[in-house]
Order: sequence, then structure tokens, then C-alpha cells
Amino acid sequence: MRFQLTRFAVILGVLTLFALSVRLAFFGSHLPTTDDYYTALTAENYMRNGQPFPVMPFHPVLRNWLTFASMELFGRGALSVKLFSVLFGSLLVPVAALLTRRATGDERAGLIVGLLVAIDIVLIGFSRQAIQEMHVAFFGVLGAWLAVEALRADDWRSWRWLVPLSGLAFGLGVSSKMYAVMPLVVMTGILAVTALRRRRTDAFSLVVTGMVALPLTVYLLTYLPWFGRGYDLAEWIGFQRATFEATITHFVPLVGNLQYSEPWRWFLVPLYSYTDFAVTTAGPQLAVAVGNPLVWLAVLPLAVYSLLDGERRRRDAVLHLLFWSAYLPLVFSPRPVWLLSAVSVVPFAFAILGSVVAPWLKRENKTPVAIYLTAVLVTTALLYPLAIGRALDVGYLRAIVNATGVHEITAPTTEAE
Amino acid sequence: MGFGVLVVAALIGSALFLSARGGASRFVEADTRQVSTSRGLVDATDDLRARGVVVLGASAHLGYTPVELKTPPNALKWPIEERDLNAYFRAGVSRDSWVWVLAKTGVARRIDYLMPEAEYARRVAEGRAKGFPGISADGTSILANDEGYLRHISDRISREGGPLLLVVDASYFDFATPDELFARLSELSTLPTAVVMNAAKDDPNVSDAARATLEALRPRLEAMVRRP
Repeated sequence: MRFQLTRFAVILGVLTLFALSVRLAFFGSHLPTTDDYYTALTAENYMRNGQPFPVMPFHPVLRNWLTFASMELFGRGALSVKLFSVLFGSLLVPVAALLTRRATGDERAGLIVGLLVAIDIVLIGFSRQAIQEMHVAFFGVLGAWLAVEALRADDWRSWRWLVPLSGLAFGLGVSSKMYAVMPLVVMTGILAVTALRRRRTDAFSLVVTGMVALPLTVYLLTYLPWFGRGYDLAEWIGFQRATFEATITHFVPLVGNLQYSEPWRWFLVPLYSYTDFAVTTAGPQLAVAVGNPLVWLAVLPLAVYSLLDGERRRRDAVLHLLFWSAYLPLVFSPRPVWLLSAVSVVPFAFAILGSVVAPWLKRENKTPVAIYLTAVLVTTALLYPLAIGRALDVGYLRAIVNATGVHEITAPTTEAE
Repeated sequence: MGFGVLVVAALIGSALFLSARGGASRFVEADTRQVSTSRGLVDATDDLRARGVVVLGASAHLGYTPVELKTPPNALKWPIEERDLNAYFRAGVSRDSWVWVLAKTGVARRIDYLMPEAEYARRVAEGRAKGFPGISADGTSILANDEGYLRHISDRISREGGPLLLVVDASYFDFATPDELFARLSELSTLPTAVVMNAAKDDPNVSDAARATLEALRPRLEAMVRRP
């Protein structure tokens, strides 16, 4: 793996800066939702008392470490509380692009994916929230990229550092949310089979320790404050089983519409969305995470197209494994799964999309692709106010707002009530 | 190979270190307290400096309704104001939430209920009729899962662990005799480190007779405490 200041690197740098800027725009005036507010309090409650609640006590706990560290260093303002969501949401652009480039061997595919990640309204929206959706997406894609780098490496020596780094990234991902387990399992399996086929027991041993024992160690260590409540390892294992059970049966009584909790609709229904509503000190504020229909509706047709074409299928095989293994368990989940979970899936979906579209840029007539990407950019610009808490300020977005599924309606109550 | 050994050693070392840290975080003074309300009970656990203990609640009352977490007016603004949730929950403790507060403020790492036999049987029957999860096939225990925090409900001692803080709630004696309680407690292989007796005067459903029974048992319960 070599790093050179190529055209690819320069464009990727520009895309990353662009992603950072659209994630930061109007940041301070985007007031906290109840999730943001209680994420800050949960971080302190966990780090000081070992109690990972009130926000998502059944999910892994790395978010609390990061939010707490950020607040200790930089105070309790918007950027501090959401620092790692913004950071990971922006850095998802280069890692998704690098994963796609290495998996497909096509720089254009990587750049298309970088662009799609940079401008996706759902990814922008959750990069501006304190909860851990961007954490798990970033670490999951980072781990997958490093594992693919190992797979494509010319020599085994690269495995010695790529595999442990991949395991470390996956460990941090799983410590953020369990969605990182699926790409971890996929990449561990591919690496293990590759090592065994080539009769490299040393590489196989590296995969077992680097992709299993190392992530488990990282995951375990994030529970340090929890153990401070008096627990031992046997009780921790019981707690893990209980949180897993709680996770797979979790059901939030909805104020809005149940139909917005069905992942099979994500890439089939235009403007499928997830909404946060809060009555803030500045009045009502609505933020809507919604997939750009020109991109999201293209995912399944292009994925099927890629599967049906033998050459593409071979080229995109790793990306398909990553995408379908991340997506299908959510589709068949017995509990409601909201659009925020799509954050861990769409980078892999975009990777397939980029891989299919990129060769079309090599054709003599590039106009159709140029028109498509321009239309995507324009649509994104039109939808952008939804992601930054300005959904109620823009008239033409009212139709989307009215049709959307409201996840959370919270009016502050007084202590005296 | 060196890396593999290092990682496996790190994993095992981490597990041992964390378990040791947990063990070192458990404490309760060896003593007894007599209280009359849920607030008094929570204060008594403070007084006993109880942290990370197993609470064995001899009670007919579950007391696990969460203290409502209200968002203060004007809270949704930057910067986010500091708020001590431990103090908030302790301040909000009531008869309905006394066990929940012990769990969520770090006093109890584990809650085991020792319910009167008749009341426990009624709850199992009711739970089965309503399809509640967590009831064991033989009906001898209920495992209640609150987003990962487990409570073990039974009418007998089935799990051990310490240090043990025994809370004897007067409500127990509205459904069972002292003999039933002491027969169950005799199954403990280790004695409680501390005992808190709660007359539950904040619960109108608890009879004065039950409170009198608890008061009469005070010497026997005090004698149970495992003093250093």
C-alpha cells in the first residue's frame, strides 16, 4: 500500500473537505435533540458511575468514552458533543472510496463512492447527531478496507500490520454497535479461507488472533467503567446475553408511523425517512434523514445487474458479501429497524453502485453519467435543509415533512409537573 | 507467533484485570439499619457505604418503576448544562422505585428477590396468563431483563454472591410467616454482610401487623449479620 499525491488523492481530499463543510454548516444553530442531550449525560453517567444509560443502555459503550473525552477536552458545546460523529462522518468519505478502489481496482469507482458518501442526506444527518451511527459505519468500512488491502497485497508481510489494524478497527466498530459484526465476520472468513488455501498456517493464526481475539479485547476493555460497579467476568457474559436479548426485542412505541421501520423499503420507496423533532429553546426543530431517491432507488437494480454479469460479479464479490451481509439481517429482523441503521449499510451499497457506474465513464459518450451525477447533486442541494434541522423553514419541503415518519416528538416538561 | 501470544495474553490479562477491579469495587459495612420509608432505605445504603453489592430483597413488593427522567425547561440548548443523574434519581425515590434506584445508582450490582411463596405463585400464574417473558419452564424463577439489567425473582434462594445486603421489607409478612423467611434464609451458604429492615410506612398496602412482625424479628435479623 503506497501513498502518493495523485489526482485520486487530491480529489478525495477535496471531497473529504466538502463532506466536512456540509456536515458542519449551521452547526451551532442546529439545537440539540433529546438524543443529543441525553447522549452527553449518558457519557458522564457511564464514565463516572459505570451506568450506560439513559440513551441505548443495551448497545455497546464506546460512544460514551469518546463523547466524555471530547466534553472533558472541549466543553459541552455542539461541536464537542458531536465531535466524533462529524469526524467519522467526514472520514467515511476517504475510507469508503479507498475500500471501493482496492476492491474493484477502479479509481473512478472509488471517487464516485466518495462523492455519494459526501453528499448523502442520511449520512450528513447522522453526522450531525451525537448517537453512534457514524462511529459504527466508519470503523466497519475502515476494517473492511484494511482487510481488502491485505487480500490484495502482493506479499504476506503486509498482513502482519494490515490484519491487526483491520481487527482493531472492527473492534472499535463492534464496541460502537453490533452492526460491525457482519463485515467483521465476512472479512475474517475471506482472510481465513485465503490463508488456508495457500497453506499459510502463520497467516491463519494471525487472522484468528488479529480478527477475533484483538476485537474481543478492545470490546471487553470498553467496559472498564461498568466493571467498576462490582462485576466480574461471568456477570459480564450474562450482561452481554441480556443486552443482546434486549437489542433483538427492542421496540419503541411510535408516535409516528410504523411503516418507517421496515428496511426492505429503504431502497424501494422514494424519500423513506427518519425524523427527529424537538421543541428547543428556539422553537420547534425538525431534522429529516432521507435517502436521495436518485441514488437509493438505483441501489437494488444496479446490485442485481452486477450479480447477473459474470465479470462484474467476480470483481464486486467482496462488496456484494459486505452489502448483503449487512443488509439482509436487518430486512429479516423480527423487530422494527429504523432508517438510522441504514448508515452502516449504505456505504457498501454505494460501493456496488460506484463499481457499476464507473466503467460507463470510460465510454466515449460520458453525457448520461454526467447528467445523472449532476441531477444527484441538484437533488441533494434541494434536500439539504432536511439534514440540518431546517426542514420547517423551507416551503417546498413541507410535502416531505408531512409525509415523513416522526420518530421522536419531545416537548420539555417542567420539574414541577 | 509473537503477535498472537501478545494478543491472547492481552485478552486474558484484560479479563483478569477487569474482574479484579470489579471485585475490589464491592463494599458494604457490616451492620444493620432500621428504616421506615423507601427514602430512608436509600439513605441507609449511603450510610452503610454500599457499592456493588448483591441485594437480596425479602419483599412482596418489586419497587422497580423507573424514576421519571424529565427534561428540564430550556435544556435543549448549547452548551448542555451539567446534571447529576445519580442525585436526581435518589431525590426522586419512592415506594414504586426503591429497587430501581438501588440498581441505577450503583448500590446493587445484582438484585435477587426473595418473595413470599404465595405471592410469588400468584405472580407466576399472572405472568404466564399474560405471556410475560422470563418465567422459567418449571416456574421456580423469573428473570426480568431491563435493557440488559437482570433481576432474579423467586421464592427461594437459588443464587449466591456477595457482599450480600439483605433488605427485609415489611410487606413480606403480609403474605408469609417469619418461619418461612428464616427457613429460606437458612439456605444461604454465606451470611449477609448487612441487613436493612424497612417498615414501609410509605406504602398504605402494608399492614401494621406486618410492620409489628418485622419489628419483633429485629434481634434475630441483627444476629444474622456476618461481622468481621
